[in-house]
Amino acid sequence: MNGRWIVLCAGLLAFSMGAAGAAPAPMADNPHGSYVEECSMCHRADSWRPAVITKAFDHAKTGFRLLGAHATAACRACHVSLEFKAVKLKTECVACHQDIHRTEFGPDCSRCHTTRNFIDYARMRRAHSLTRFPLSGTHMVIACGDCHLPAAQGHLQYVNTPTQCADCHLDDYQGTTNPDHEANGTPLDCLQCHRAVSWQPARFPNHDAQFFPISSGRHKGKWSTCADCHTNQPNYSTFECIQCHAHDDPVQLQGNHNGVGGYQYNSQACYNCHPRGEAG
Amino acid sequence: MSAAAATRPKPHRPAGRAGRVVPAAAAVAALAFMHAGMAAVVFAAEAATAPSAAAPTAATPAATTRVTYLSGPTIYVEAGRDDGINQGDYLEVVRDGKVVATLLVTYVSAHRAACSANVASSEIVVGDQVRYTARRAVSAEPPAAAPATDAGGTSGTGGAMARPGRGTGLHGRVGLRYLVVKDHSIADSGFSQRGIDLWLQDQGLGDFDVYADIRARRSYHARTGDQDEADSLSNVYRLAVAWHPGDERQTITLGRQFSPALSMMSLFDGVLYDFNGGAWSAGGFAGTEPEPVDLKVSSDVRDLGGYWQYRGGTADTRRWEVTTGAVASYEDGEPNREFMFVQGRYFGPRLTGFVVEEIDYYSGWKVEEAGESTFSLTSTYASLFYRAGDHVTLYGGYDNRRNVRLYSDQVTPASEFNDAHRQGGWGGASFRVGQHFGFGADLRRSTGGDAGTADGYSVNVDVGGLTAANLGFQGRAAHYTNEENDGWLYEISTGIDAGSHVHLEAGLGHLDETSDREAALDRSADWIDLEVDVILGRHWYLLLSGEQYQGDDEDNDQYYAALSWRF
Repeated sequence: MNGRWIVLCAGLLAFSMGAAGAAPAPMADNPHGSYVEECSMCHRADSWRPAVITKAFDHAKTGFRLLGAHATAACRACHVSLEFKAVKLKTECVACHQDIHRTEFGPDCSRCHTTRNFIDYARMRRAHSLTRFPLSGTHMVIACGDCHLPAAQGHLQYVNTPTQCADCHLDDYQGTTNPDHEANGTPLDCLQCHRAVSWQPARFPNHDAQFFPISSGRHKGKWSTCADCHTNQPNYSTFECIQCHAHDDPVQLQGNHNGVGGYQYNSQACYNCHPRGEAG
Repeated sequence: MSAAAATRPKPHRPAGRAGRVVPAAAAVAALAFMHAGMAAVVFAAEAATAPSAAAPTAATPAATTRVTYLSGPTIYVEAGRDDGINQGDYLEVVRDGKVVATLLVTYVSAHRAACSANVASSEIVVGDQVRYTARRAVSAEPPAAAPATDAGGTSGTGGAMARPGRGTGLHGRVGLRYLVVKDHSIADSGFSQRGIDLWLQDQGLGDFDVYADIRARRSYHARTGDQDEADSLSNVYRLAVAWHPGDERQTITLGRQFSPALSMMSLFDGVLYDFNGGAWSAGGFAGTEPEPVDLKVSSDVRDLGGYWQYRGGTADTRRWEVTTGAVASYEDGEPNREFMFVQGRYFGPRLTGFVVEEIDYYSGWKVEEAGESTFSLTSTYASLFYRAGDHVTLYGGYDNRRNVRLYSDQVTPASEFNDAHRQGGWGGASFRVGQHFGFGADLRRSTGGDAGTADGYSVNVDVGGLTAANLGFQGRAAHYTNEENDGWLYEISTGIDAGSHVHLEAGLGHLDETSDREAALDRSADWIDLEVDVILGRHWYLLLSGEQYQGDDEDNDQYYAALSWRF
């Protein structure tokens, strides 16, 4: 037995029993087996229990540094025996923690969790970047469970989540009224018009080239919804120019078109002469 | 300690010393109060079994030992686990042929046991004779020496896969947490969650163990244009009592539980019987599956199954185990899921591995109406870690899993059933150079199903323990590609201890993402985060963290606070 151990134990025992100077007190075997450290690292002379772990004790020497919340765990929450060296504990997270994700993420918990912060939402978002659906925009500020719905045993909850917009937003799509997406046959690929970072205003990037410039030229920023021009919802093949405040005065427009042969005050006539929305 | 020293009577303590019985009894009473609060029925059972435990049985002769030491309320006796004493046992202090006190074993080592006085009619002194009933040891290897985990991360309620902790008394954690995520780019948007959780484990109630893992949270969601929503969720992940009838080899667990040997089963409500035969274990269970959304008890899906496990190796070098079994579940008398599985684990000084294969058997409506073949390799999952030396670790894994068609998919389809395999693989290496420097790289691919393929590559470097305050730095760069985007993500962070109880972490990051669809969808963002954790009195843990994230069109914050008490 380590001599230092014996001397220290004897001293502590004598002190605690108030028998210093008396006959040598009975000495116990090391309750920690082959683990030898200064008793005073964890025990006090006035009361052996509860153990009080002092700064001098460094668990990192065992190869497993107690970081974060682990530093507050009771020794015996992990160690089955006071003989610490008798049973070598595994250091993988799953050795002690229940995996409520049912192995879906594998054993590498540190991709999303740390010993300091078990609900590190920011870390989870970044880990999500390496998946098939990096989070952006509004998706960064919703709870995980909004998309990853609880699943019955036999169904995957996380790793097989569909990534198409309509997989989660079909109700939103069907609930639109301005314009009514379902009625006018709007494609389910929301990103054609919307962005995850800013759902409104919606865009129609091909509208300028295919139909009429609304995201460039004189009409850029002059409208707020599709229905400003496409007033006969959900029919997008018709449009109105003369209901807009800039074109809704027939007298003024008549004056602007003096001498223009065939001028008519209706929207189709406007478009026929101004297909790019420019004057002249 | 020599035999002479052990038997040497210590002088009688002063009369006042007899008062030590009182705090000991008070301590036992306090423990009993805690026990009663969480499981009165168990405490009642313990009380009922206590006298019989104290009295030697006819089949097992009583053994004797001696009180060797007294410290505060603790009485030490010179016999331990190897002598057949277990935590929770009751011992009798005998003087002149009369029982003068009953001791409750609170801790036990190989040749010593620490006890508290349960009932004492007389002062206990060193040298008093102690009578006890030696109980049969489970095996030379304590339960914790058996592999305590599976790659699924479940831990056991006892039996073959018992988590380290059997016989360790009451342990637990109570936590409060509050998370706020605000989206400033859309006014008044975001969500918050406040939660409370309780984790409890008591393996010192005689032949009983008690487990609880309960988490409750309330979430508030705010979205522009919509009414704020709030929802509450209280999940009971574990609430079970395990009973060891006769000896430690048998365990009957009742309640909400999970079994490491049946990790793919996840939670179930019911009864599980485990038998630990030393090198092998076997068990069977019957129960029901909780509702998937809120984990409420439900009788819709009824399960039945069993496993057999064989293990080998030694506790501190190489261990391995192979588990196989079968599980069947039924709903409305129709097959819900019937499958068998084989899983293997290896824990060696260099190699750690886990592999599982699930094989579904399809019958009834699954074949007749859903057109499934009779057998399907439903789930394959493997992961390996290999320490190539003191400085190099290699790892990799493979994943090929699919949703199983359940009865609810047939009768109440919420959406079109997706049975595409989720496939993936990953690999990497990490290197340590000296005590302070490390770096690594990994790559992973996800594919299968409709979501296309995503690849991610990352490299990381860390420098730690640079000063007495554990100053450290970490850096990571990751590149990712998927069906829509290509992106780069960079992070650096630093951490330092501010004294022995406070740790600070700060980080910066940047992201650049290019859309394959159109330039207007490109985005970049920067973030900064700060985290402080404080340990108070070694039992309290306080964490405060915050992150500000700003991008081209993104502006959001998250704040998180958590306080927990561990005992």
